[in-house]
This record gives sequence, C-alpha cells and structure tokens, in this order.
Amino acid sequence: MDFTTLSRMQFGVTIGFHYLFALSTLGLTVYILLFESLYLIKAEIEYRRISDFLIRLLAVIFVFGVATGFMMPFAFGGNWSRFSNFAGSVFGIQLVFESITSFALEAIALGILIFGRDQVSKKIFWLSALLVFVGSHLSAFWIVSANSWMQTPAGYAIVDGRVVLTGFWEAILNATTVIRFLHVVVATWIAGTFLAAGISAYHLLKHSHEKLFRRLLRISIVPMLILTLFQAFSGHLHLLKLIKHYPEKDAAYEGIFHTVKGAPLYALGIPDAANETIHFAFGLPYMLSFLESGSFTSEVKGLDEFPRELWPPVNVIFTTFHLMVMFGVAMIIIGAVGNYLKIKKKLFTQRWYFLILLYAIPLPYLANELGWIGTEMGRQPWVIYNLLRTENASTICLPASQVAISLSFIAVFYLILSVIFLKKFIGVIKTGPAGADVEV
Amino acid sequence: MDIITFWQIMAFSCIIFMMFMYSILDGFDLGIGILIGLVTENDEEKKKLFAAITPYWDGNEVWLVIAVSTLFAAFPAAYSTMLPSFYLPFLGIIILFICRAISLDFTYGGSRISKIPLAVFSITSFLAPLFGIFFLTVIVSGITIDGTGAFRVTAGNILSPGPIVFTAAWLLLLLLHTISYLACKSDGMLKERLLRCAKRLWTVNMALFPVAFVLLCQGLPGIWEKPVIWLGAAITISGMGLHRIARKPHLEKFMFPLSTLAMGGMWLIIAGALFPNIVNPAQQGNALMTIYNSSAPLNTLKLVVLFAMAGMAAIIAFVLFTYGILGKKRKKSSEVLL
Repeated sequence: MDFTTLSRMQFGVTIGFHYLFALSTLGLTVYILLFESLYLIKAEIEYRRISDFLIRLLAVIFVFGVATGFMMPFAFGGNWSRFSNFAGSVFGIQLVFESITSFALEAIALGILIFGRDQVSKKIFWLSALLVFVGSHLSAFWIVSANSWMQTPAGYAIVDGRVVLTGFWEAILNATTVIRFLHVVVATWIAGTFLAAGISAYHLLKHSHEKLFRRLLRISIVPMLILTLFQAFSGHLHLLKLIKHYPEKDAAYEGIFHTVKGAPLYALGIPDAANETIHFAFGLPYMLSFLESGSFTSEVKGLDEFPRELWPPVNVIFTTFHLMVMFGVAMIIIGAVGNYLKIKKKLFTQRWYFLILLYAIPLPYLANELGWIGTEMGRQPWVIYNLLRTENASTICLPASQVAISLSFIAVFYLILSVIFLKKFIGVIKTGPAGADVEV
Repeated sequence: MDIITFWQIMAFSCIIFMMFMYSILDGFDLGIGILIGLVTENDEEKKKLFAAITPYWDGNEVWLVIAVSTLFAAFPAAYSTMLPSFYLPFLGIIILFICRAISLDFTYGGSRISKIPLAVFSITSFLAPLFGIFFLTVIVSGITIDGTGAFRVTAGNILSPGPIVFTAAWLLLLLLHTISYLACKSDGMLKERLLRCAKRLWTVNMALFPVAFVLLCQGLPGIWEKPVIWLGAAITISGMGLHRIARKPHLEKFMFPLSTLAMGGMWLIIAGALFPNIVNPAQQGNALMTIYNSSAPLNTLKLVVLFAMAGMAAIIAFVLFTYGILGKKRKKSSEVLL
C-alpha cells in the first residue's frame, strides 16, 4: 500500500476514534448546564445529583478526548506535510483559535466542575458549567469551520504556490460553515439525549435511583424527537448548499449518475459506479427534484456532468449516506414512540421501551461516524476542493513503512484504549449517582 | 527591521513563551509523576501529591497545545518539515502523553491508589519530558539535512554530550521546580523528605548546569556573542542560587517563583541558541530553517500573534483564578469525583 493510502487510513482511524469522545462531550455539556441551571434556580438536590453523575461521565470522556486529540496536529504535519505547507496559513489559524478560545476554556473550567463543588459558590459552579458548554461548542465551531473551508474554500488567494488569507470572515464563515456546524452540533445533542435516555433506561430496568432517572428520562424524551426531526431538516439544508457549491458530491450522495428531470429520491439500493446504476433501487419518484427545487419535474445534475476522475467514490458515500439516513429515521421513530408513551402516561411502565432505549445508545454514534465518512470520502479526490488533490497533499520524504508501523501501532493501541474506556465508562454508569433518592 | 520581520520575531517569542508556561505549569505535573514513587511512603501521601495536580493537569496541557498550533499557523513550512523528519519519535512522545493522561485518570479513584496505573503514570511522566527535552536540545545542537530538504537525525546528533547533559540538568531543575510547588502543599514528614530531596538535587544541578550550558552551546556559530544566551544563563544561575536561600522555613513561598525564574532562564538559552533558526543545522552552510523563510504571510502572522497574545493574557488570568479558588481549603470534606 502506498504512503497516501496508509495515511488516509491512519487519519480515518485516529479522527474516527477521537470524534466519539468529542461527540459525547458536547451532548453531556448541554445536560450539565441544564441541570446546574435548574439547581441554581430551584435548589433541589436531585438536580445536583444528576449533574454530579453526568460530570463524572464527562470527566472520563474528556480525558480520552483530550488524549486522543493529540494525534490530529501530529497527522497534519507528519502525514500531510504538503497540505500543511500549502494551507497552513489559513487552516492553522482555525486551529490556533480553537486551542485558545475553546480548549483552554473547556480544560481549565472542567477542573472546577470536577473538583470544585465544595470550594466554589453555586454561581461560580454554574459559570464553570457554562464555560465548559461554550468551550466545547466553540471547539466544534472552529473544527467544523476548518473542515468546511476544505469543502468550500473561500477568503484566500494563491501566492507563490501557497494559500494566502485574504478575508478572515470569508474563510471562517465559508459557504457551508453555518449549516454544517448546526448539523454537527444537533447531532451531538441527539447523541446526548440517547445517552441520557439509555442510561436512565438501564437504571429503571434495575430499579436503582428510579426517582432520579425518571426525571432524566422525562427531560430527554421530548428533545430526542424534536432534535431528530430538526436534524432531518438541517441535513436537507446542507444538501441544498451542496447542490450550489459542491454538486458532484450531492449527485454521489443521491446516486444520480445521469442528469435527469424528475429525479427519484432513493431510500435503498446498491450503487454500482462502474455501470453507473443503482441496483435494487427503492425510492420515491420525482421526490429528489421536488426536494431540491420545489418542482417535481426540475432537472437534477448527475455525475455525468463532471470528469470521471473527479467523481467521489460513489459506492462508499451513497451507502454511508443512506445508512446514516436509515439510522436517523430509526431515531425519529424511537423518539416518537417515547413521546407517545409519555402522552399516554406509560413511559415508565414499558420495559420493552427501556430495552430499546438501552440498545439504541450506539445509534447516534454510528450515524455520526457514517455521516463523517460520507463527508470526507465525498470530498475525494480533493483534500481542499478544487485546490489540492489528496495525492498531492501527503508527505513525500517519509517512507510508507513508517506509516505502516504507526498505523499498526495506533490500531492496536486504540483497541486497548477502547477496552479501558468502556470498562471505566460502564463502571461509572453502573455505580450511578452518589447518595440515595430523596422522597418529597 | 521591516514589518514582517517584526511579526516573525513576535510569533517566535510567543511560541517560546507558551513553551515556558507549559514547562512551569505542566512541569510540576510531570515532576510529581516522577517523584511520587520515590518520596512517598504510603497511599495517604500519594493522595496528597495527586490532589495537588488533578484539578489542573489538563488545563496545564493547554499551553503545549496552543504552542503547537501557533507553530503550525505561524511557521507552516517549518512545521511540515519537522513533523515528517521526526515522525516515529514524535509519535512515541504523543503515545506517552496519551498513556500518562489516561493512567492519571485511573490511578486515583478518590479512595485508593491503583498500582498498575500509578506505575504507568510514573514511567510516562519520566519518559515524556526526557524525550521531549532531549529532542529540543538535539534541535538546538544541530541536525543534519539530507538532499530532499528533510532533517535526518544521525548517531552523531544524538550521542553528542551537549544534548545529553543539558537534558539531565533540565530534568533535575524540573524536579526542583516540582518540589518548590509541593513545599507549599505538603507538611510533616513528607515535606521534610521533599526538602531533603531538594537539597541533593540542588547541589547536583548547580554543579551540572554550567557544564551542560557550555557543552550545549560549544560549536554553535556566534553563540557567545548573543547577549540573550548570557542573560538566560545568569537568570538560571540566579534563580537556582536564590532557591538555596529560600529553602528556609519562612522563605519557602519564594521557592516556586525562583524555580520558575530558573526555568525562564533555560528557555532564554534555548531561544537564543536557536534564533533565528527553528532548527539549527549540524554543519554550517546547510540549508537553514529560519523564522524568516518558513513563516506564514504577514496577515496570518499578525492575526495569529495578536490573537495569541490576547488569548495568553486571558488564559493566565483564568488559570490564576482557578488556582486561587481550587487552592482554598474545602468547605467540607468530600470525595473527589473521579
């Protein structure tokens, strides 16, 4: 295998692993801020107990997130040195802003959250929860902004073969930043609701801390549905942006090989890029045209409008995209059922639903990973769309054997870390909150 | 001096300052990892040492992260040359940091000390700064550049006495700095043991530092004409010299500022020995990687430097606030959450 392929595999492994922790962090900070706010306003100890429990989970996740995040800047310089040299003066700015505005805020304030409950006032503690929330979300913003710049670059000029920043805000708020940030943040919040609901379901099944986890589940179930529905809408808005700014990627997502009027919206199918068709296609006729322009007969650009060598790997991204959508639909259904049970006042009496919630915890994580695989592979053959091809972005002076060594080592190392993390994380969940429920 | 030169020097200075802040803050985290198995006699003492770092360690690592990202943004050509040149050694150091962070999370569960994570924490706390400082001193003493423009570390680069002795001196100073921090956070037998350890470390380091300084700088062209080198050495010697006086009971609170001063001197030596290079060449006449030929364009440099300076001021204020409130005695005893 060549250097570039090995480097892509390594980057996929490292960022895919790191993303799981980033995702959980954002989702949990929303809950912690919510419960700290309720504790501040209502002064009920139950809110504090839930918050303390979630802070313990966050502490474990954050350590693994920080530790695995060290790999990212290493990969930019080590494996993708021509990319770093070419675009560092724009891309690097976003990393500086991320480390200063968000990582610093998050890491320092988290120290107060984990260790400062008895040392600071309620208001300072709440402020720390707010800072961790803001820091983690700012972090997501800068990273998504940097990634969006690679998808839809703006605010730059090419001078002496390198990218030069010409417009800070154009680069930061490029064509897809806002909608992608929204889509990613909502995805993390959904992961938070499923994690909280799943943990609640576990304890309700075990009849432990029932009062407290009923409260956590009740709070989670409404946003679970609202956020998953909104996510479908934000995903649609993202695709509309792609049609304008990255049409070949949109065509690959939707499996449209040939420009056509009245394009169908495929729900299922097996893509075959070699023969430019979707086997066993199942979908709604004319619906893609309608969704993209509001007319059932409008024209949708196909991949045939673009040179074949610039096509993204259609088979992979069609599949990952549609699997992501399927998981999304499953999450909407789970949220809808939960809300139905809540309205019927049966939410806490249906064990089968608790089991569904427990086993649904991985769903948003899978959907997120699939979404990112689709996004990143959908950008191929470019690292920076229309500016730098992947094959021209990797390091030249390093032998492939060194990446083979590092990839093998990282794969084994991360496998061990996964086991260690799950042992600790599940341990914290099983232990549950400190103290006993207070009967009011 | 033209305008871009000014911003290039500012960016270089910012990175050195960030590394200085990292070394004094995460320095005692690392030092506690090294010392914990050597100066404690029971779990209670170990817990005291852990309590001195657990709320802060991830905040302290912020400085390393911002230094690396600033190097990337301000000097992308240097960044993209150095990382591939030292690919596997850098990977090794990162793995050590990952293991260290995670083992810290597992060592102290609030009620008992776990032995295996403690061993991992101690070993990685020793190896990470050892390799980190050694790598830095190798860069200062000079590295061979091959035909492709990449740096190639040779046996000659590694086995020269300058980097080895300077690394040893810096590690000893790091331990002295750690004890200075702990002197205000411990009492009783533990404190006595720490101060005895400081006395021995101080004696060895006062003898070792001048030798290390000369060995590192010898052979670097024009090094002795740089005033900043002498200033750095003078500050380090003064900091360590006064540290001896501050070991008296009523002056202990000055130990930490003085070891910080000595650390600052070390960074001035490094900055002076490198400037204007980012990596010193092993032979004169080799292609140089300087702050002038590897920097980002002016508008990026300005943006990064101004933002980094404002950010650093805010982070320092935030760190002082956090240390202030978490350093107070607990209102009531409670278990640590982790």
